[in-house]
Amino acid sequence: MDENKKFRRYVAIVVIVLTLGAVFVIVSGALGEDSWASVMAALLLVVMALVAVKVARRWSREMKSGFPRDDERSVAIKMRAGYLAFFISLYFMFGIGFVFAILEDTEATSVPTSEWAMIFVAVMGLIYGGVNAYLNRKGVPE
Amino acid sequence: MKTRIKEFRARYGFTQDDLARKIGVRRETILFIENGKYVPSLKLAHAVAKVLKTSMDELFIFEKD
Repeated sequence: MDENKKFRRYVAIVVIVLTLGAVFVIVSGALGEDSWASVMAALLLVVMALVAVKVARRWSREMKSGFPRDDERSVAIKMRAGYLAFFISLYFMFGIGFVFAILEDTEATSVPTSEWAMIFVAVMGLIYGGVNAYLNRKGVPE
Repeated sequence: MKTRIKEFRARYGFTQDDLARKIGVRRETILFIENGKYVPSLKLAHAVAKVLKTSMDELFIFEKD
């Protein structure tokens, strides 16, 4: 598949995901769902939109430059960042879950599963972005 | 790992951009390989050596700690 076709497909997927997300936020807000969850979902949506625009602009610039978008170094960085993001967020969730388990025992507050999932995705995304940026500057360790 | 890519590039008058285009990688990849911050695969190392008309032994210097 040529790069232009891939780019158009990416834009279409982003538009569908953001539209569905916006519908979810609007409906959950209108139904008077837990406001914290709606605000959190809206925030995630804004972050996703900003990242999508940044990726699209960079992709478009790279297509014009004539260099390949991915080569073995960039793939190695993505793999390393994905691996680290997955395991660090697992440890993070385990740690936070442990803290909340203790809080529940003391009849303090607990976090609903839907918000839990959003926190997990946000933490994983942040770690992925951070590690990716770091490795892009410092290089991939041997 | 040290490399002599810069030296060989200069010999043939290639910029990092030129070399990257000839091999089909990103310019940053050439920069990182030159600075010893990325160890290329055998396939990529071979491609670089071929474009610079030399051998991998000449181009990449592995030093023991």
